[in-house]
Amino acid sequence: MKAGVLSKIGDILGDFINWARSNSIFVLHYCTGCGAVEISPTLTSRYDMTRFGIQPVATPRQADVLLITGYLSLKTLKRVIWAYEQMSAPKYVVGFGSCTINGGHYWDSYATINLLDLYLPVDLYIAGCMPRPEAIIEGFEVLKKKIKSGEPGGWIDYERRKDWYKANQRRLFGDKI
Amino acid sequence: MSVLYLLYAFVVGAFLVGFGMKISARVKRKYGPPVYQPLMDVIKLLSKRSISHGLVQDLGVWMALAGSALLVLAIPVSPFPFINLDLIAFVYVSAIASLGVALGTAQVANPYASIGMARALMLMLGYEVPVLLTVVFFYFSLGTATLADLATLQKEGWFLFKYPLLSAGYYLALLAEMGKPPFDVVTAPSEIASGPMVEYGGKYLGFLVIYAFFHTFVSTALFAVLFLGGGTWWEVLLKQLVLYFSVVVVASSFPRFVSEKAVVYQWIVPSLFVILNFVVVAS
Repeated sequence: MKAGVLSKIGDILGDFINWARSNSIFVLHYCTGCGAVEISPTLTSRYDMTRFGIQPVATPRQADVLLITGYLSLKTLKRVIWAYEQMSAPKYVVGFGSCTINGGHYWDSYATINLLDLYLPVDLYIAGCMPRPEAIIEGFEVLKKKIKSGEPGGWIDYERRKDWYKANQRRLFGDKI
Repeated sequence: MSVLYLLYAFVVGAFLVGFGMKISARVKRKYGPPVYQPLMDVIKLLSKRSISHGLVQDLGVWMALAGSALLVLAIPVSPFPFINLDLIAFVYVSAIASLGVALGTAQVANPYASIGMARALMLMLGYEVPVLLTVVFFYFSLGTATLADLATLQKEGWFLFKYPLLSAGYYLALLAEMGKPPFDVVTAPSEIASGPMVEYGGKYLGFLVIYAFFHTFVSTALFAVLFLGGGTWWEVLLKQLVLYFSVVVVASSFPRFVSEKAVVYQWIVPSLFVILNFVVVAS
């Protein structure tokens, strides 16, 4: 009886925390490629992302979501991985634009990667070249639903299968990662 | 009862910050986040995992929180008990909180943090000149500067109308003290990546946000007590709202000063207002 009440209180508290998490998302927009162009109207007066509780922050330590806008060259990917590993735990990665899914324009380039999912656990892809601000907001709504339902994020996967991710990263960078 | 007062200050501070975000968004023709956004931010941040950089950082956060809580307890708001502090002691104690943040930042090896902290201490040199001149003025003309006495002295007329130049000078210093634009050189997000807060994340950032709530409450309530007559809790709350509204409107319409210019501005314009007030009252 008592344990049942306690677990119920725990459930309610967990739901409450998930609700707060889903409504307060600090985004580190890592503007690697041309996708950065679409971020400014999404943040400012025209489309105003802040009304959904999504705010930009300046450093990876403060951020919840790493927004990767566009293609990733090998040099940038290394920095992105460093930034991702600095973020504190409930953390999510959003891949933005077709470059992070299949390489997009740069699919046969020697200097860029084609699929981000091999190197970092992507929670959500927003497809398009470029996705419009409406699509970005729609994508974040999906992410918010995911956080609210308490679904385990990609960061758990990254901790569990760290060897696999590290092996993939090592294939690109050698032992310098 | 004191704990109740701290809780009240927390809620009012959070509400003021959320209200400020909304007003600032409306000035820029946005819709803006909901008013309770800061509360959700705090709950989320406190529920995150976090990384400590060492003992001094942990202590610095607690020092900042404790310093600001002490300041809250020194503001006379009617049904709550308060410590009867002199204004000069108040200014002295108010350095504890900023020094706490400085201490925590000193542990971090990030250069942005050091730049931010250097700017914070430099800006402090700037705005403390008009603030201390204000304290000196209260001693000279009224013979007292305890907050409770100043509140009772304004029964027949607010100091805002009695000493308009003094209020204007103190208001400009208040903008810098609250770290609002045009004096937001400390946490300039697009310039030095939010300055002292650059390596704070998770629970540490959550505690700093709570510190910011207390700070907002104290700064606005102090102005309400010094120049707008103080009073019971709802009178002070109303005055705080009006004051914070004006601060946010000013803050969201002006660009940032260069950090040296901000200090020079504080030395010249608000200090000049306060000194002119001396001349006007003496003649």
